[in-house]
Amino acid sequence: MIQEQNRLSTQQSQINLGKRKTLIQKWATILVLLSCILPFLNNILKNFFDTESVLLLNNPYTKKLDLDTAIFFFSMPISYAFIAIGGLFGAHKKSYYAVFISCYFQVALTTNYLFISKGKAFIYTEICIAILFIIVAVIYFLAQKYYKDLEIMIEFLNKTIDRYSQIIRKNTQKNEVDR
Amino acid sequence: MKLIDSSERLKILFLVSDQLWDDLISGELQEEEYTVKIDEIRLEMRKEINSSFLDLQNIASKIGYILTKKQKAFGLINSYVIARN
Repeated sequence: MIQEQNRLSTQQSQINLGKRKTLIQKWATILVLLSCILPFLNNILKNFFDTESVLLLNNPYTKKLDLDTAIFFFSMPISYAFIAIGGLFGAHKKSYYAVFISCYFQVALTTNYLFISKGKAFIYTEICIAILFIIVAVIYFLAQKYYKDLEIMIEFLNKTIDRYSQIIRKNTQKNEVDR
Repeated sequence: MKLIDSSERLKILFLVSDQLWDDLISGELQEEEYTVKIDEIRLEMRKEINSSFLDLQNIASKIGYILTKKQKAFGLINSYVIARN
């Protein structure tokens, strides 16, 4: 029996690899989105309980270490690892725009922190940072077109192979029946 | 003459191939014709050309279909494939 196929059953930025691997793709996107939120976790937890009072290091030999700063320092390598895992296992390509936005906010906040004696950073520095991130986003957007073409070709070739095999199977069954 | 993006060109040829398969299932096409026409489309998709909509219409007319373009509001476009036998 010939079975009908769906038309472009997947989203444009993911490859159709079967039912088992869509779970991995879902978890990969969730990890990439979590990596956007992790650097701001210390600001979120500040509202719930006083993290600056919880001291992890309280020796006279070293500087004091809060829970606040410890979460911030640990969030950096963990977010890098999440983004790498998301790239390996096929996260949704549009989730990386959220990473760009969170990076822009992090960079803007740290530059404003450098100018804390003055109160706020100069306007030119903020404009330069915004232009840098816009250029990177545009380059990413242009490069994504190349991969979109490849994915369409892969799906087309997979479908044609399935259809040719169905035709051949039907013809061999006819020949066996005739014998 | 406006040129079409390569990804839209591939999508339109993909729709033509789906239409060919539907015709084979319903019985209008024979298997020999189907295999010949799918090979033509496959070789057309491999080319890295910036073509216009007229070129795609000529390709579809060789295969036996009419390609039309329907324009929605705010510039959105849907392309259709119609059988001609």
